[in-house]
Amino acid sequence: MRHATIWAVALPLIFVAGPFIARAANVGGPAPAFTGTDTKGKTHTLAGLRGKWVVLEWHNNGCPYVRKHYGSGNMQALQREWTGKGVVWLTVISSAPGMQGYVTAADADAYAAQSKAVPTAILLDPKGEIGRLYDARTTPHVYVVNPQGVLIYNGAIDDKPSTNPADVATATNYVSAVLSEAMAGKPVTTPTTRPYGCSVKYARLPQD
Amino acid sequence: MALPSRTRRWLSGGALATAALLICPAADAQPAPSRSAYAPHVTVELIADRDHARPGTQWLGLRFALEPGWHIYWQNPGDSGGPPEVQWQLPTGMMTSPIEWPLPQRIDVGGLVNYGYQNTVVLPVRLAVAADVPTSPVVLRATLRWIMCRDICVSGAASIALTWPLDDRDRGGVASWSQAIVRARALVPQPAPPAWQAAAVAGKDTFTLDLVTGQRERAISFFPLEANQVDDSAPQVLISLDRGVRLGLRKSAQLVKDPSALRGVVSFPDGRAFEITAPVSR
Repeated sequence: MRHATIWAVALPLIFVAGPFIARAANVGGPAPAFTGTDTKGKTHTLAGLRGKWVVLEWHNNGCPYVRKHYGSGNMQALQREWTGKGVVWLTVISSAPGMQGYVTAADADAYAAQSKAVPTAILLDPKGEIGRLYDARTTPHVYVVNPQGVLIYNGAIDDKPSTNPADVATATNYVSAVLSEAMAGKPVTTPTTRPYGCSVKYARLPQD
Repeated sequence: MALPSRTRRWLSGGALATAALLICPAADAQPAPSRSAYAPHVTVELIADRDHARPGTQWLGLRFALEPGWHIYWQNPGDSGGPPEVQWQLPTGMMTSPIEWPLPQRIDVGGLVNYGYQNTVVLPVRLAVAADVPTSPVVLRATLRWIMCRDICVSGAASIALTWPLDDRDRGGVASWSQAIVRARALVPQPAPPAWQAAAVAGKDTFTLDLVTGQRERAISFFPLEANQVDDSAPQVLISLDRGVRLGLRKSAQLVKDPSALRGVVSFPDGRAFEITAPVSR
């Protein structure tokens, strides 16, 4: 009798877990559990951020699309606004050593200081582990996780896929839209969009 | 990408075009503006298939000569990047159509897939010229913006222009330009033959695309015309059918709702390429 009860509980869990194995960064599902080290050597885990709104921002300081958002001050303004409201903003750098955007911890901090970026932390991911876990494709590519650990947004930073800084002013910013809606308890209008930017500079596979 | 946002983008890019106009004064007062421009790792050039304007349809070409290893993007760039864009300033009575895109290559960048062009590519542009063409010289101006990548990406912009009738120096090149445009146009996918049938069935994670061409097909590639439908980096699983082929296409992680149809280009090893529209059913 007891065994039957255990199966009755276990089976639905297996059934529900199935689809999430195929594509890890599904909006509406649990955000993939990551462990990352920031430029100060501190470890961050998604589990440790339960109870907080989290933004993950993939970054490469050489990419023209990233420069559009940093050169215009747009990314810094977003970071300031939302960390001010208690959001944990993690900038993630998944460029492999030797690839564009790869930086040492000291250089990452220097770039942040010089550009007045104010993320909560900058995660260095030179092996691309967090990037592959989230299937991060471009810089920028942004994700939003709610306090329950559910991924509520996966996609572009805004709706103008260009390198032209002038487009920032007239674009609809998805990070702000998603956080505003979700924090007010409203359903997210646009939970996923196609991210735009340069490709994330993962390590080249041997045959490349 | 919706047209209105692209239009808005060009309005904001109008400053660049205006600047170009201010720098390039009237054609009859100054030497002809330059047909080519040099930017890091690329030379861009405006070519035409005739040495003068003539009523009816003519062809222009945007020629990109890229350094080895660099690529620009197709109308659907794939996982990253964006297609080159052009804004025209044309004499009265002339009108261009949007770029006609030659069949791209699949370019694998560390596991992500882009669709684009390497080395040299000519992007043909159809030009309609009204019946009453002016006899005095006319200038056709193209303001180009592009993103170009190798292992890094750089964005570029240039203003190039062609004066008709061509001067002696340029006239000599028209025969080879004309050939280059003819070759480029031959690489632009044709509409699928009317006898063909294309249909797709949407599963949970994949689309199964059946293409009936009338003969057994052993190799085919599918290039989606729309973003967010098909996973660009997933392998395309092929099954040969008696009268065509079946392709298994993984759905994009960004796909929220099945589209009513899959639009794309199919290409064969012999170089034939066709645009197909496959209605999607469940």
